[in-house]
Amino acid sequence: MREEDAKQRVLRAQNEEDTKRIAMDIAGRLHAGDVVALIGDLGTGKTTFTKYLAQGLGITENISSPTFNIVKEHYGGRLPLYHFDVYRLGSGQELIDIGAEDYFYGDGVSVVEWADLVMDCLPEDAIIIEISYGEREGERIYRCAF
Amino acid sequence: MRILTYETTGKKGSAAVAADDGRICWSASHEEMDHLKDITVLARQSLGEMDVDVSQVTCVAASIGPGSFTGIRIGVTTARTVSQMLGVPCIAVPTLEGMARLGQMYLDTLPDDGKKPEYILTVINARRRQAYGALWKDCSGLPEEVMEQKQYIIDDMVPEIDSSISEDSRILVVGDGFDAYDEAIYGLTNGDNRIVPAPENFRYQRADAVASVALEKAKKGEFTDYSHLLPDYMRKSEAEMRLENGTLSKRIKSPDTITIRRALPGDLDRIAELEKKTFPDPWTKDDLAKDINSPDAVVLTAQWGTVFAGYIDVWRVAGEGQLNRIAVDRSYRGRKIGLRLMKEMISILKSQGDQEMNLEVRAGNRPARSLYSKLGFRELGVRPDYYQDNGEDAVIMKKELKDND
Repeated sequence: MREEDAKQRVLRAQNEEDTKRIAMDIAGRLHAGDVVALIGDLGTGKTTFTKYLAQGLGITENISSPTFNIVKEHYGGRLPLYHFDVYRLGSGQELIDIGAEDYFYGDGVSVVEWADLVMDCLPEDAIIIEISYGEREGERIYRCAF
Repeated sequence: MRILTYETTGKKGSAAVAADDGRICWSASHEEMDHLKDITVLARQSLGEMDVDVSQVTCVAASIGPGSFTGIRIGVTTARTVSQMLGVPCIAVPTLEGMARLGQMYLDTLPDDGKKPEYILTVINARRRQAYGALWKDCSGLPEEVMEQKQYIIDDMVPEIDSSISEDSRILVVGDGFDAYDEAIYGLTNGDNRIVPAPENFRYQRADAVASVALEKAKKGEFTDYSHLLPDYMRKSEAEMRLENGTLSKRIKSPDTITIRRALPGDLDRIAELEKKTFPDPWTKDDLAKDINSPDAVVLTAQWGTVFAGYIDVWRVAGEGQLNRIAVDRSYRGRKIGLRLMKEMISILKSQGDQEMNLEVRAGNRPARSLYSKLGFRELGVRPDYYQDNGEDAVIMKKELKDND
């Protein structure tokens, strides 16, 4: 996507219900081979967002943080979900070395938490979502480029 | 001679058994990316079709890459295990050579009417305009390598093909690299009249072609012990690719992404300005220019979207990297730019074989000390009154650049 074309949308969630709505809406628009890059500090709810994204894909499995597994695979939905957490990786290179590209360019949706740490190793058309805290407790701001 | 062969580097895995009379039986998976699940079944099917019992296998061959990392590992590990169990040697078959042989097998089905391609282009999609490829000449034995098997940028490979062979010669194209980069490949001089894409059933990796290559290698005695059957990923590291290209990703991003690349002479002014803003004892433009152009220094810049946001300067001496400068523009702090600069630098030093990286940091600079410590730097000691501007102590820190961090 060229810079001129990339619109950045800012979505505000006042509570978790809003987050769920936003995530499920995005889930409905995903295709096989899409990579969702989640960027946000500790506690901003990257895993929670992924949980609702999974629901939006019709996945009923429990979604939990892949910090120690690096990637977890979830089936049973409209598309397979490959849930990554790259926090523990030393570099984007490690992500390539473990064969992540087979997932990214494969038959499901990949969601990458802490994507900013490996940005240059993600596909050119990754869907980038930056999550930050809002003013009030429970509020989140989602900046999406797609 | 009975060679059991595995090919798992592409989307669909396959297995084959070849005999020294030239007969080959093979079996392929119907599903994509199911190598682990299918591989033993496929091997058993091939053995059954050849009427060979596993105890009669005299050698195990594998397609060793390039291709899917996980796929390669499945085939190579299975081959090593079976070879070890049976007590028989292995044969390593480069994937691209297997594909060239597959191309030959297709060419053998064509009439000799003067329009048959003389060359075979094998190309595997490595994403982001990269391809693992080679150019081969068809001949009576195994295909002859004309252009080296390696990782190419497809847009550079095509002109190289043009300058390697005559512009009348016809080329058969094998591999999923054709599916990804057909436009670039047709860009060859007179491409529309010369390029012959292999049909679907001869386009992707197949174990029978690999087995055919293995037979020839066996006749020449090119066996290897299982412990020396190793993957060939052929893939340059991200750091190497970036050093080659300036920057690998052509993606123009939303402002919320960081790009790290090697500093170019055109960055000198920006770097010098940030240097002056950041340090009480700034380096001159000449100092910076020297390092940007020096083979013993590595200077990287960081961009936040398309905006210059920071840089890092390291000298490499005798296997050690010495951090001289790291600076991030005040307006872009708090976005992990410093972390990214350090991580990229560490990656580059490792890829060049350096053993350690060291630095000094102001004792009072807690955020920096914390960052370095998180990256695995250990504090070695203190140089008292090191900094001339305020007499602050310097803390010396060092990190071993081992493979597993």
